[in-house]
Amino acid sequence: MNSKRKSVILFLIFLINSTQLRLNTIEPNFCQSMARIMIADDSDAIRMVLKDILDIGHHELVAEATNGLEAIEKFNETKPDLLILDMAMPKMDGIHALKEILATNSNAKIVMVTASDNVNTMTECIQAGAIAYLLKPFNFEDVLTAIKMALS
Amino acid sequence: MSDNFHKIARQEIQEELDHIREILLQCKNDNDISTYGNKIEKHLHKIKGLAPMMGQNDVGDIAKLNDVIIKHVIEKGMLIGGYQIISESFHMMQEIFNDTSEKNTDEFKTKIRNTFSHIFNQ
Repeated sequence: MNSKRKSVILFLIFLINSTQLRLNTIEPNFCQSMARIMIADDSDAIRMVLKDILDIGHHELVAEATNGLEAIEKFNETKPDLLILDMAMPKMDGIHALKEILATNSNAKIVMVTASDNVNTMTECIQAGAIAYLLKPFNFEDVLTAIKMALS
Repeated sequence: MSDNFHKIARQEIQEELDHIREILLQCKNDNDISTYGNKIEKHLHKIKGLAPMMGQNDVGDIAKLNDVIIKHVIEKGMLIGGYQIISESFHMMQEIFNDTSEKNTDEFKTKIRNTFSHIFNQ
């Protein structure tokens, strides 16, 4: 694990603790109970790799979206346990979709995904209500860890 | 990562590079890079995230360095030397991606950092 990724995870732990969410461990557990998960990303390749990772983690993919507007619509249709939401998408970006979803689904659990390691962007996501922040490029362990954090 | 992932990721990165090439065809100087900064950044951002996931770390690194430069341009305005480095970087990324590059990638990355050290040392 490189130092930047470590610092991002430590930053997330700090933010999550500071918002009173309980986080005891972030070790990935590949046998945790299946969750209903939705993916929103405009990249076919990223959605494909996320689907493979959900399979590895024994999670169920309930819906996919390729833009922010579609993400809101499909979230409301399927009410997943967790939404993995890309920041940079056409029609409506991830941060606006996050806010829209949380405005009507205050208990929604959303993990933001982005290639931006800007601390201000991370802070904006967490302050807007995202449970975790996943940095691209990621590997399967990063994703399963983020899912476990979000669902714990 | 599966072969299918690599195939689709390769197509998507090439599309992003094609978009950057089209934008650069409309640019002639540093001021034009400032004008098209947001559009260029959008495509660099995609490459930065996806390229390393398919093993194209050098392409991802160059996109990341350019992303920092272009964000500086978006925030602060025209950057002297911006057009040249963005153009050179585009050609370098395309050559690396096509496996036709004969240049030293590490030297090129160092050149970018040194040329714009005032941005990278902020």
